Amino acid sequence: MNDPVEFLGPAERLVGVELVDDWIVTERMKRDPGGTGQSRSACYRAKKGTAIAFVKAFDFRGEEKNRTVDQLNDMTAEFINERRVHEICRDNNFTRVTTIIASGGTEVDGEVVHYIICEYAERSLRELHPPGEQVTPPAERLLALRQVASALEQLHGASIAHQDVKPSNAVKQDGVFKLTDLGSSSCKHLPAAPHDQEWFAGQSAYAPYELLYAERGSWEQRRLGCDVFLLGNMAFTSFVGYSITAFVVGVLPDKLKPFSGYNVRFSEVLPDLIENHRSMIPEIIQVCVPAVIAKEFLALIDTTCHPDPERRGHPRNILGSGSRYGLERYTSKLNQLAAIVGKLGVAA
Amino acid sequence: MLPHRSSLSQVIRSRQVIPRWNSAVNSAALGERSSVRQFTVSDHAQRSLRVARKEYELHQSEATANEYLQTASILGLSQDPLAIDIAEKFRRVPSAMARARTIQATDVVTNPTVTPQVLSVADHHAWASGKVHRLRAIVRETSDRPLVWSELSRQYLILGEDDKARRAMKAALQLAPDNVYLTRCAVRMYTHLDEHAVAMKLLHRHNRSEGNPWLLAADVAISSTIGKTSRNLRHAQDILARDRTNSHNLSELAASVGTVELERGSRKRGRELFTKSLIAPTENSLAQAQWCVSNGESLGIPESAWDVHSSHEATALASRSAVDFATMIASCRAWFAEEPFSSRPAALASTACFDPELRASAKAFATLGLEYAPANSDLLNNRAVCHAYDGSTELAFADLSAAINTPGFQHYGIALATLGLICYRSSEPKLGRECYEKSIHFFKNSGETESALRASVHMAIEESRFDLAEGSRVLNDVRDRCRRVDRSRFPELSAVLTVADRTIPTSTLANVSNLINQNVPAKNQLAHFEAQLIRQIPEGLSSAWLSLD
Repeated sequence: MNDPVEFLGPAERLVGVELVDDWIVTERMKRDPGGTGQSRSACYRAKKGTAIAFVKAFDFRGEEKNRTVDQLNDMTAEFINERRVHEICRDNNFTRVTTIIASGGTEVDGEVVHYIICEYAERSLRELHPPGEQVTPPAERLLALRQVASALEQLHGASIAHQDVKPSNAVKQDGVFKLTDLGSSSCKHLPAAPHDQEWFAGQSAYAPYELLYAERGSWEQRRLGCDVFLLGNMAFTSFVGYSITAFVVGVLPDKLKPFSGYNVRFSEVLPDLIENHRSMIPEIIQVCVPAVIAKEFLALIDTTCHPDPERRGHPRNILGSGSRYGLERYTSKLNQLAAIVGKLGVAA
Repeated sequence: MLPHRSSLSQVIRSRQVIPRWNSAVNSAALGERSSVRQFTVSDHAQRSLRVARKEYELHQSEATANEYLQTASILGLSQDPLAIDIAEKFRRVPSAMARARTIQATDVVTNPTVTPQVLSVADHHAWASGKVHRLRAIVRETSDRPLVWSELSRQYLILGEDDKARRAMKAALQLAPDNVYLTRCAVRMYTHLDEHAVAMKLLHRHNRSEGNPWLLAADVAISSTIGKTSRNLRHAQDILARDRTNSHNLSELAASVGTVELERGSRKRGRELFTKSLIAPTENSLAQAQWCVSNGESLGIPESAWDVHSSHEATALASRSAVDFATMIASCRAWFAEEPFSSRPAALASTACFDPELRASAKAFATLGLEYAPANSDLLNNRAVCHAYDGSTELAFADLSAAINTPGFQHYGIALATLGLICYRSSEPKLGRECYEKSIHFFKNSGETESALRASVHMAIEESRFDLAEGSRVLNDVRDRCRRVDRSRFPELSAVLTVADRTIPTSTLANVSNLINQNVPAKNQLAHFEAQLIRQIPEGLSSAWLSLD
């Protein structure tokens, strides 16, 4: 993995540079380097008049100098994939995903730096509703989750899987939470990005169990199913403060943990995951989620984050003819739960 | 290599590397559930942790600290220096996580399932019944938990409710048909229930039956138990010859195939395989090696092999070899706590019935073992011995009668010796002497010198209670003959000689007169029993028997 903070390539010297459409880079941002993707990138804030945008600059040159041609090729493919996915979202008028404004290349000290300019959002869900803290009203949390679910619905409608849904990748803009950072996303209609070779493209702390154990499945299961899990995990994290993956995998014996040096098969560890899930999660939810919605919230978590990927998805979707990983029912359930706690004025 | 058929106990007579039924957590901790190939922590894991680290370094917030700690915990890297620093700095373990740890620590399934080390049948049943109650309540609520079904099956087996145990295990396997751990548990259960064909079918039906050394080890062992050659033996030998995997995963397979080689007479190959199995042994493969050593095979068990966790059976067998029967009993107690449905620990512990100081424990073990294996002739015989020494000769006689009526009973020499003991303790020294002499003669004709000597020592002890001079004469005679025997191979002989040395000089007629007053079986009943025993002796052996008369 390249180090997004320490490298000193031309992509790091973008402050003050004028980009396409008169955008001027104003400052370097502290920004999540984004999952386990292949890219060496630096993040900036840019201005055009009073408008502010987010800039992600890629350091191909540094890659070319230091790495092999294969890695340069991977990085280029990652850049193209992210840009193309953004363009699909823009072309489809997706309102719940941060929109790409422009992309291009600029010369810095005689070297070309490629970049993407996107909508800017000041703060993420992680800062606005810190996971597990007791101040944010539950209704607000649930509404934010509902908006994230809507964003995923839009993406899935275009056969795009985000694969890195987490609190820091949901940002608030114009009073609405949107999904950002499509660096780990996969689109069924685009050539496979290099990160598709990874077991899991996002952050391990939130990963679905089967992907941590390198279990292969269909595209829908690995990509769309992953997003369903990540949505449930985000809901769980939001109320509890810890990801469900950390709970369920964290208490496994060390020799059954993924990447522990012991090649454990998913089928071998699945009964333990089910056991940990069943024995711990209901009690945790009982403690951390308002009692009035605890039962329904648990049902939501059970169907989105069940350790067995074959049992994930809304039961009515599984029984019916619709998409197994359809999110509409979850969106309306989150809406409904938000209304319940909102109406009752349930405090955090 | 295999011991003589009239040996002390089934535990000493035969042993195979049948899978243990440890709890899921223990089994994982012992490394029995990891796959064959080991690898270094992958690039993905390292990258994942580095990304979390960068995120934390950029923002230094409680949320990013949490994310870093979670990633480290998932990857099993909680001891990572930064993780320790962060945990120290924020000093905040979320209450939910603390609660999760508490839940897991008290969970009825994930917690190690060792029964209390008690020797009371009632306590065992009460404990298992309590657990069944809790487990059934769980599966009523959520029935999709394979480990709960498996644990329920184990508890039913402890209670002797075999049909319910089968049904519960079936449910577990339906929920997780590809799971190696659960398959091995099921194989252990069916082996315990003497349903070897079902166990074999399960193994052969598993989609990794040929690639997983743990399943292969079970396959080879069960085939040997039923006197067949595993159809996967050649494949197992190939895997061992190629040895691309780590030694721990292959340990039970090597011990299993090694036992087959020793039984076939390929001692060099067998020893090589045991050496391989002892590089990183499991407690099961260590016990198998110690069993071979106890039966005269010269295997060098390295000191490091004894570091293996919970090696109770191996320690029990080693203690027996070292004539340390007190430690043997203590180890059997721990072994029984881990396999409370098995009669093997009880059978081994009850062999210490000759020692006055350990007799109470031996008797308790025999009684407990008979709860799980009522037709075990070894246990019945050993309890008969305990009863006889205690003066309860009626009970002793009843147990011995039950022993000789068990299907396939063959241990006539031992039964005659026990009968001799009962006769002596029933104040019938003449009949007792006669039984012992026939027992000794039987053993001699069967070529079982050690058993003959042991019976002679027992006879000397009993004889001295009536005629000290005659008892001492017999003992001195036996001691002379013992010099020609390698006593290190026969720990019971050494121990019983020690008991004789302790007993005979202090034997007094007062003890005898006390016993005479006790309620004893009628002489004609004993004579009838002896005649019944003689009738049961197979044709080939009867000529030797009759020549004595």
